[in-house]
Amino acid sequence: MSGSIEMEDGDQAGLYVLGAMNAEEMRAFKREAEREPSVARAIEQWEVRLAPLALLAPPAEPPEALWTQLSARVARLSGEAAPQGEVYTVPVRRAKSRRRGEAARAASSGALQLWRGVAAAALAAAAGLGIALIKHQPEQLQVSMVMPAQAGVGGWLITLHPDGQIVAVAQGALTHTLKQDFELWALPDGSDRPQPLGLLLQTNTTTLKTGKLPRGKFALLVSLEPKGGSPSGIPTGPVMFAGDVQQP
Amino acid sequence: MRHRQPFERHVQDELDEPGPTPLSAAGLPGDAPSELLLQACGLGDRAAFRMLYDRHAARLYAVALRITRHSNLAADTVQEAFIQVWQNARHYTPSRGSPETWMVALTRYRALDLVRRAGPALQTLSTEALEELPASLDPMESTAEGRALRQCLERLPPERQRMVILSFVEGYSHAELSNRLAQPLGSVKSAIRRALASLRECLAA
Repeated sequence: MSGSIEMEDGDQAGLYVLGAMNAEEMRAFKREAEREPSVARAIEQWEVRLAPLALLAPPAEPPEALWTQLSARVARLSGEAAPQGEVYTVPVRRAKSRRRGEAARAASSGALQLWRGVAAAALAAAAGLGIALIKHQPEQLQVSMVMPAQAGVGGWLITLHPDGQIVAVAQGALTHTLKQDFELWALPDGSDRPQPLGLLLQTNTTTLKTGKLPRGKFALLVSLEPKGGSPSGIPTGPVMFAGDVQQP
Repeated sequence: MRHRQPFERHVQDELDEPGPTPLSAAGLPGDAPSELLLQACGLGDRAAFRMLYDRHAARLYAVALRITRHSNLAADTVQEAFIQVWQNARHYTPSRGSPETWMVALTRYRALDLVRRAGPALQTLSTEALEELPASLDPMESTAEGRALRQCLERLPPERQRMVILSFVEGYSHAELSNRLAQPLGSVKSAIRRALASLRECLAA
């Protein structure tokens, strides 16, 4: 090609987009783009023109840890602990009755050393707590989980819906929001492996949909975990509440 | 402490059924266009953000890896780029091109800034033995814009074509091109400017 094509001012933006500038030039040009809309516009146009070159980068798989770290950062940026946007559906049958003692037995029979040790101590502390089972409609199961006053948390009213939702409405007035998170678990009768259901927010309403609740009788547990929930897949903090749910 | 994504993996690990697909809070389906996912991100929809990640992270990582030549730096770059996507999703407009164009641009600038600031020290630390970039432009055939750009690239003298590709894909600066191609800096600068002008004219035609 001969030199018959006219250079335009906007071609400088092409150098920027191409990456042909050094660090200082790039920063200076970026500042200019912030001042001058025409420069910013020229950059946009070059980005669009040259974008298909990215297809030439050979495919490469990002490391798995990238998402987990990214997600945790976004959670912190959003001021939440729980990734609220992610929901799952689960079928639920209604409960008939509850017996607190059975839940305690189920909890303490766990073979998982760490969890059992934590749970036993916590259940003793939780002895003064109450769970009230209120059946509003045939399809719904409501569970009230009351926390000790010194935790500064009023507890939740938890509803298990037949379409798979678990809705937890925070109760009472908070004295302060804890830096830790409360995590909800289901412990099938006879099992020693609690299944995580999600984090309960300390204010307003939490909606959870878990993949599947256990069949038959199971205990609902609430443990106090680090921000973001248990890092290990089983409760690592004290179980603040345990109560069982029986299904037909 | 390592953070996990508690719900998905636990639910999928513990249960016998295959894991269900997360729905976004806005109820966007899995094949929703990325423009919609970006809008949802702008409204704080984290499941939409996850979908964007699943769809575009590999491309961004490939781009970042080519420029930074370190998998750790590439991962950091992509993470930062997605944070920018999350925080600036509201500012995306179609004038920026497709969502992927916008996201690739974010990624490239971060990667370029990183390598430019690190300077020659980064090269000596390189532990990645990346293969030479394949010479074929065939991957560009997968989009209409790619086909158009490819035709215009192929009209350039081969060395200028090479400069454009080394700059964009490999992140070479003028100085690095000058070294690699054993040409004076002034010639390289001039050649690239001509190449860009040619591409602009060709694409406008």
